[in-house]
Amino acid sequence: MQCLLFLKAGLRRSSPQAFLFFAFVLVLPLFPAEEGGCSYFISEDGTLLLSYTLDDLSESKIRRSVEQGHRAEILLTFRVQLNTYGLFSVGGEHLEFDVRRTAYRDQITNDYVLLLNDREVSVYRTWRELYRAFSSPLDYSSGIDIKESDDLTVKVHPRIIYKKLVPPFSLMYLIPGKHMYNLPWESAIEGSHH
Amino acid sequence: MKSHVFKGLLKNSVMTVILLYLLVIILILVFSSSVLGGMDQNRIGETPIHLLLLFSIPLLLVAALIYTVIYVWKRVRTRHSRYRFRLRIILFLFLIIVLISLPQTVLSLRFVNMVFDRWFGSEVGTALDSGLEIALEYYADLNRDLEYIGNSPYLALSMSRAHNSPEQVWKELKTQFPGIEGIQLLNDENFYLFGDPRLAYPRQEIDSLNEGLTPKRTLPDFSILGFRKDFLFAGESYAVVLYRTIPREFDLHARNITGVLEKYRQFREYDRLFRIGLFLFYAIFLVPLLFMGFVVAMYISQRLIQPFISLEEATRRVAQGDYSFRLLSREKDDFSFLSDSFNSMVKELEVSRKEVLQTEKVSAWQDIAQRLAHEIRNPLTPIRLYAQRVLVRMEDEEIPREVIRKGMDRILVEVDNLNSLLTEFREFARQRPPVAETINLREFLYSMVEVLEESSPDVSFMIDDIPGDLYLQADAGQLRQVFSNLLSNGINALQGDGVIILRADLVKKGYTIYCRIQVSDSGPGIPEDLQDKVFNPYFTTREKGTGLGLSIVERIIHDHRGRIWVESAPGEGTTFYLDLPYEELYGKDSDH
Repeated sequence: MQCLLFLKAGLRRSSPQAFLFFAFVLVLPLFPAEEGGCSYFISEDGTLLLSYTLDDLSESKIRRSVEQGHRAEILLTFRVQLNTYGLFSVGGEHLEFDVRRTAYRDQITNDYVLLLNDREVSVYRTWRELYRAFSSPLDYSSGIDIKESDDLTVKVHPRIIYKKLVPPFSLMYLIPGKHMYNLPWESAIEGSHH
Repeated sequence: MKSHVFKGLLKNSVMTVILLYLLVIILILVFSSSVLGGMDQNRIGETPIHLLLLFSIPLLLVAALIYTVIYVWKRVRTRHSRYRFRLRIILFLFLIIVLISLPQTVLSLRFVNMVFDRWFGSEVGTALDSGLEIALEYYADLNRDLEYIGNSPYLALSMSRAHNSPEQVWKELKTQFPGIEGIQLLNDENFYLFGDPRLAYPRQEIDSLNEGLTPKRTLPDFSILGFRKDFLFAGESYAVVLYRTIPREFDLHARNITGVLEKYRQFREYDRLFRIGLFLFYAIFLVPLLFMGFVVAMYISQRLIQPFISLEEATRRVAQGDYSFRLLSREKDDFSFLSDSFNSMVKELEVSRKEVLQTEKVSAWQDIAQRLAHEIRNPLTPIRLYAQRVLVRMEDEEIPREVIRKGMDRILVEVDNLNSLLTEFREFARQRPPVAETINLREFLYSMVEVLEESSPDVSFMIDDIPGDLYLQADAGQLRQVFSNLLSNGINALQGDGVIILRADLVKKGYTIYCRIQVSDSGPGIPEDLQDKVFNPYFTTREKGTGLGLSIVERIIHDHRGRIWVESAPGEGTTFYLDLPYEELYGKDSDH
């Protein structure tokens, strides 16, 4: 019991310092610099389509990173809350998935490569072409079937990774704005059919 | 599990240590896997509570550790030997734990450093660069081939016949350049494709291509290199695109090399940061383990010191006169022999003390009876003589009234003496317990000395050495009696002029601080053989003394849980020392 007692005493004594530390860590993700807009559509065959547009990207930072042989990435975490209201049942489904658009320069061909979820989408000869494609609205077919009766809530958590770091250096993402901008969760707006 | 069973488990220190240890290990495993897993999935900071706990728990443990050390250290500074001993044991055990873990820590860090240097050393970098160079060379070779073919006069010659027979152009080129795996020919109207159809660009994409090498395209089975060349024959413009493929394996190997190279460069770039981070990460997980070591040290020290604490408490109780106190002795206790030995010692002490007390009591009664008989007999003799004288003279017819008055007066004086003797004896026997109140010693003694200075103008009193802020908890009436007796004795001893000095200071004995008061006179002193008897009842060297004064003084001081003794050198003077309790240091303190 004794050690529990002084552990308790230690907790009590260290609370002001711990509070400062907690406050610092909690404030870390609260430095968004970029803004974007998310919308979702339901295609004719009932599939959920998502679209995300970044209003402003720091081209110079991305270019510097890519030219130095690193990767830049737009990482979107979508959270889809699907409430189904049937005749006999009321159900809910919670889906979460990531969409990653990555840009890098192939060191062998010197071409600029654009990936979507690690799959090569396009290869470009010039930076301008790559950046145009990289910063263009990201349309993604989620493959989720939606019924007309479904009540849908879509949220997105965008992160712009200027310099993709391997573990354990990815811990540096915790430094606000240095290698990654962590935008807050935002709700997607329902758009019209394509 | 019922709550009382769980509480019982917690009360067992061993179980507490084990539970705490398991808890720490589980926390380390959970948080480390959470953080490392988060790093792998680029999900750093998404669950800040994990990171928060990861960093805050070691911090809290360090804080708890520091708090405990400071607590024990403060105890040591108040000169409590128990805590000094305990701190020494804790530090000693903790030092052993640290010394054991230190080589392991150094070895682990050196090993990680060595591995890091091997994995991310210059040799590995050179090898990766060489691999990349080979890939680049191979790729450049393929591109050079395409450029060579595209710019060769043979292609231009073949293309001059393209408007007649495009297929012939493909056959000629394939024969001349077997490396070519496909060709696209197009003008404003026609579009021809020869070779593998998967190689072809759609027409609108070709239009957007510039002359020269085309970007590499990757298909599931292979990658495609291309070269576009434009020709103008007979007023008609042609575009020709030559294709070669790169095997899928080459792409995979090249991707592996570039992927590892990217990681390698990051590790080289953040080399110092990585090493510092590694050390911090190691430290974060080391802190709980060191904390566990500290807890174990605390537990062992507590276990080691507990019998001595019990023994100390028991000794104190016995010193206070409680001879019925016994230490509990358990079979599993390592120090049970100590308890047994102490218990048997106290038992024997109790028996012998009872015997001594009994003997002392009988002896005291004998002494008192003897002295009372003596003191009562002394006045009885003159009473008897005067009574006899009056009876003898009664036979005469005329008794002189003077004789009767003288006899009666003397009888009354002796009866008064007897009465005062018995009153003093009754006072001595009926000493009430002291009622403590706060007394400023300096003021108290000044008030007493003022009275005595008037009645004894030849005696000088020196009282200036007593601090003005010295307060005592004592019975003022009884204390007045004490100093009245001591000062009267001093004045009597001086037999005229002389000096009486009063001093006071604080002294520490055991766990108690005492106020030590000295009453010194410059009289002739007490012979050495009488010094032991001055506090005995009815001992006096004066004719008119009852011999009860110093006995009463000793009794009062004893009732105040104090001590009195005398030191005297014949011809130099006498000093009475009085120790009265001032402050109890640890009497009410609980164990840490």
